[in-house]
Amino acid sequence: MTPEASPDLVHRSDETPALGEREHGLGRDELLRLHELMSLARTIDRRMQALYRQGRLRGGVYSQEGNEAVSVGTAFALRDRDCLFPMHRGLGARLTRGDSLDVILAQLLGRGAGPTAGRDSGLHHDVPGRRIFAMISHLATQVSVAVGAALALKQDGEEAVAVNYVGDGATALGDFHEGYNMAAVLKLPFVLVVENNLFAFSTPNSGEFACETLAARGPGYGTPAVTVDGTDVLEVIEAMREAVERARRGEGPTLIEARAMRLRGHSEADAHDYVPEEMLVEGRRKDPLARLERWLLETGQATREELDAAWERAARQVESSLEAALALPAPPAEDASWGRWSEEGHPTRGRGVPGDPKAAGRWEAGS
Amino acid sequence: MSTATEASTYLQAIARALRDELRRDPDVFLIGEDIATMGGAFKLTAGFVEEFGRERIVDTPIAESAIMGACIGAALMGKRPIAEMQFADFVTCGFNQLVSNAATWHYRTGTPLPFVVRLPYGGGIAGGPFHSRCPEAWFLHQPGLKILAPSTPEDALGLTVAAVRDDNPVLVLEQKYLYRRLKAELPSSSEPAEIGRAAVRREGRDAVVFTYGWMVHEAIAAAEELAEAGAGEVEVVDLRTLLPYDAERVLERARARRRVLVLHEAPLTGGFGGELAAFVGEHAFEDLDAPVKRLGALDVPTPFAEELEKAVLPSRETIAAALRSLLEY
Repeated sequence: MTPEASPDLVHRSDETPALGEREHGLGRDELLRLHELMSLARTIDRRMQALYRQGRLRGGVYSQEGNEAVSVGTAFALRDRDCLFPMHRGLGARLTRGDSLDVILAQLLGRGAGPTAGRDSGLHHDVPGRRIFAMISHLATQVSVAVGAALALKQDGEEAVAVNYVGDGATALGDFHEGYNMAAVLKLPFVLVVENNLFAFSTPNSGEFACETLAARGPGYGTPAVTVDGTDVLEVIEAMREAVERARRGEGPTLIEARAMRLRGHSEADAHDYVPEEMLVEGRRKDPLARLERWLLETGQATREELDAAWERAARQVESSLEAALALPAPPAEDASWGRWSEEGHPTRGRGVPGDPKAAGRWEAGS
Repeated sequence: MSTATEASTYLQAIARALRDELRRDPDVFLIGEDIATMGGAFKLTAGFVEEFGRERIVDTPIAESAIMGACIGAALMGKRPIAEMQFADFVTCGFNQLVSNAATWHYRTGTPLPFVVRLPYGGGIAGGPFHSRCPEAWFLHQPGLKILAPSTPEDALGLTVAAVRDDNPVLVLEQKYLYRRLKAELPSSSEPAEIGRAAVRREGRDAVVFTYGWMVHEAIAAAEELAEAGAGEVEVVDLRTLLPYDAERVLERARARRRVLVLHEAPLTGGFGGELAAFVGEHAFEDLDAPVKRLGALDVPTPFAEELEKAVLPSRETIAAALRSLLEY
């Protein structure tokens, strides 16, 4: 298992635009941290793609490649007490909020010690101590789940917000409307991030909605909404900060549409051949990691060596966690029948990945 | 405040359970359509918003899926939400949240998901096809949910309290024909009833009826009629909770009485009666003197006109006829 060399992980091109100029207020350490989180997400992603091709990873593998700036940037603008309802392409947001690499890999590999003990696939797990919540494949349902968390925050007078991520695909479902409308009516501290990666599986935006942008829907709910370039991490952060501050002031929800091309298929089983070549070329030209690196280098905030060192650290971390995860046992077959209900007296099973708060006994009887 | 000496209706018993739980536990709150200002379509929560405020009696837009989703999200934050479906029929609009999201939550994540969905259900009130449905069969096939079906004011109190204190998503089937037709003295303190425990409502040595909700009362009436006619003594067992159901007691009573009728208000085909009949047949076949008999509504939507609805739903006459044929087998 040789880590891929960092240049292979980024779509670098002379045509890559740097980030836009703006007052970001971030120090050099924070900027390098953004790069570190995005490169870690990309490294995990590529490793999962490779494992899938080798037949060592079963089930659906949903790459976030191309959307790292949206995922990391939005989560970067949050505080610890804010509630995160991520989606399946949510690696960056999870890493930013402290979901551990060991936990994530044990989960993706369906290990018994993983956070769903092999019961659910993909990034569907929760991290209760960090207010990262679980999800289901029906993405639009999670809008109102996150809205329920926002309701609880308001009831408790907490100065925190709930954030939910969906793709452009989820915006065509009734649940999207019901949930967001309720948040607007009840003026809840809620931010809805729509990661518009231009395709819902194979269906392009033109087959999903007839409005100019998804942000055009915001005024229909009586809320602000904004479309941002999701390949510019600083633009994402700026929009997210504004939405979160508005929510904290008790002024209700905001919809953020962040556009960034999905650079892989819907899943790794998808050949992605319905995407016109020129769209892919354009998408790669705007690889959010390439854009961030170019900007960091051109503005003198980082050296090539520093950035390469971040990629090397990410590769080492991923290889070491992956080795540990691959060595974990599968869930025992006798576990399959247990746990449909939370009940007193049920046995404790399957916990033990370092960094998982549940390992400390969340699954224990009666807890 | 209710007192031990004051008789309460089935509806008042539910209202008392909700009020007592709201007073007992600050994490409990109600959410639904028209429940605050108006007090609900059945006025069950009349006066609640004055006592508990709008933060805890939450009026929502007409959006059943969002109500269910919000219950899930709030429960994950440590709350114990209680949702009211204005009529159980409209739970179809929130179906996916219950079966895909809520029902699978604990199995997948190990995180408890305590919330209650109140479902005013069933016929007998001229509700027609969209205000009369019995939704239990849709949900019985979803591991992870619990389903309770009180038939008396005492159980309406005890099972509602049990639902609120349970750490899982619990559906409470409130038979709305019974809302104001039954009265009983309630205990002075609101204690939870045991989930998964059936009750014998009428003793009888010759046959046993397994049923729940409104049909408990119709079965008792039919059994009295048969006893008066000297046709036999029929036992009536109120299942009280459907998921989980009291499998142990069902088998014990089936073996003891040897003739079994499974009865429900819901349409026959694909109903809970099929599961019960199969269970009894599978485990008690050699102890039975007759094949397990089923009786449910005709397999049509619930019609509006009184004559049609009566023809569709089981009645004490059709129950008595079914019991006679069972006893004569």
